[in-house]
Amino acid sequence: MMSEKHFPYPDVALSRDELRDAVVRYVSNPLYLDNEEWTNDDNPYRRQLRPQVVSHLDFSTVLRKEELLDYQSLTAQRLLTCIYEADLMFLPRADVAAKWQDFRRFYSPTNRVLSELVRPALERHAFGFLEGEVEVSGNWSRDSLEAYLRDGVSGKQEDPSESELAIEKSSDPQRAARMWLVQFAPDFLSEASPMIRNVLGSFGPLQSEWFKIIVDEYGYGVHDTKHSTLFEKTLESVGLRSDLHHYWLFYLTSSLMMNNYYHYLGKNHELFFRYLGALYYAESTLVPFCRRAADLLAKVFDGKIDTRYFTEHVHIDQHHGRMALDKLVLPAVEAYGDVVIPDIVRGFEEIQVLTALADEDFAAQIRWMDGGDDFKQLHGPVWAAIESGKVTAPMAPLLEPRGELSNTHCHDGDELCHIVSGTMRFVNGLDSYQILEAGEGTVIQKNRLHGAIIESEECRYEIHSVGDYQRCLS
Amino acid sequence: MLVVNFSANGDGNCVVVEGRLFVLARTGKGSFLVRASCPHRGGPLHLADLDATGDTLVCPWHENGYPFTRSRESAIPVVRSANRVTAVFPSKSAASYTREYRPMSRCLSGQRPSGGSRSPRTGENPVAQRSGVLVPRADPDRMRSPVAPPP
Repeated sequence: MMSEKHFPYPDVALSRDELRDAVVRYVSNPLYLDNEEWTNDDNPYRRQLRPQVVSHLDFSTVLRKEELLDYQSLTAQRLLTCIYEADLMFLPRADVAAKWQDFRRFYSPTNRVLSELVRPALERHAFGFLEGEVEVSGNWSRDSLEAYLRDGVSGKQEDPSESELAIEKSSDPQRAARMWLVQFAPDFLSEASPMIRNVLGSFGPLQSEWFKIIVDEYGYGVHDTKHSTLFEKTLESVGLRSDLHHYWLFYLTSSLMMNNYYHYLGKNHELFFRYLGALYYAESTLVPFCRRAADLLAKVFDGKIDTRYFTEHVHIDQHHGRMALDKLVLPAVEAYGDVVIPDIVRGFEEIQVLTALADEDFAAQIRWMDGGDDFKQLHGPVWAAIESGKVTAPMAPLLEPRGELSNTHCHDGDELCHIVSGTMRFVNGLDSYQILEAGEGTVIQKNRLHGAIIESEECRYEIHSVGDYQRCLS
Repeated sequence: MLVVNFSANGDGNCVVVEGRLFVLARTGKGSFLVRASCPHRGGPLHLADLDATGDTLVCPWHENGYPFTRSRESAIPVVRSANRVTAVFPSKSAASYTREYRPMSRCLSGQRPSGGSRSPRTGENPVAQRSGVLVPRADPDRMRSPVAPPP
């Protein structure tokens, strides 16, 4: 018998420098350069990754939970979305000829090879924190798993989430609700694609049960009933565009993270049993969630919204929740033994961690959007503290011409934007902005998504990294 | 079966099921459900040290050792997510339970041990010791270089 010592089989791992260089090379694809508009126009291949910043980032670490909304994490999630979606088939709705080069570049061998080279490290970077966040121990059995899962979904999602409350309390509920719908777009416009990653292959009756859920998601081959089609109608009914990643620059980190998590589980087949746990949680809790979402959206838009996407899920996910447990999870344990249970439990818990994070992130973003005028007013005292020397902070001076668009990003601490001359439109969310003139400015809250465009011939401004703006006020 | 939620740390970190007290011991070898009171004379096992192997609780009262990784309690299925713990007890689902608070020793609360680990008393220790090295939970690799703030 051949010995393994003669054929060493080390793990593939890039050094920090090799990883950084590979990521920089990946994001240098022209598809990922900064945009000159706030939205993408029927081009599923264009995704802005701000390559000019990537060389300053280190993806070789595991992000801690408290860093998950930092800029590093936003970039990692944007990257992973591009990487996972290179496996999916997207076509523009019109004028393919004009986008032919982009089409070829997105599916090119170079893009795909580079994406596979950096993907494992990015996944570890972005999702590695879950290893410490969730711990499973003890001797699990089929019966203890069933008791745990049934208890775990009982009564869950019955109360309005923090996101829903943020929309209801918002000073502009329709704007907030549109921002909410946009956060679902990465998932719902190509719905169930991560699941389909586990359709291929051969693994007995589970495979067919898995496929049944997908058949529902895909509307039985009738395009008008495909769930993604229903969601397109929802978007269009409230004046939003439904072409893929039209609102790429307005996705929050946690929204991308939620969708990427399912791709992460589906792309890495060794995580199949985790996927079972996460799937059961999702399918079981979507019923009350979609019921509330349909009611909330109908209320916010005075009934002038197509909510069929949500009402369809209220119906079909009653079946999917049952099917996920009785036809997938428990039969998997019966077929493959208790060894698969810890992963099922882990997936069930991990998706809850991410759901909670997404809820907090979105609610915070709505408060940030609604508080735009207040943060603009805060410029006065914070700037006074800096000008008087009471507070010293690193400062970056910038000079930008008319039309220069700072593609959306976030900062890891509070910042003060101070306009020296010219005019800036400071954008803090979809259809949400402040106009900043010379002598004005705004506090930029830590982790909050924002961007800017220059509306004068040129604009000279300063970014002061104050860390915590509150210390400027005391 | 009885499914119980309680805290890993802080208020409500001790669950009382049918008169028996349980806490989650978070050690370098993983997290396990353990009895909070010593079966010998009721000593506070939630304040126990670990021996040098890292898998034996040493009761602070009489220094009896209990290899928790192989105990009946540690076989109870349990999952921790952040500070929330869910355990599935073999009791009837209608069994009553309460939650209480017990302070935890450093080495059982997910922190590094405070110093040298204690050895259980020889002679009175009914449990054979296992060899091994205490491996505290490692923090995620933190090798970040200074990051320029995005413009």
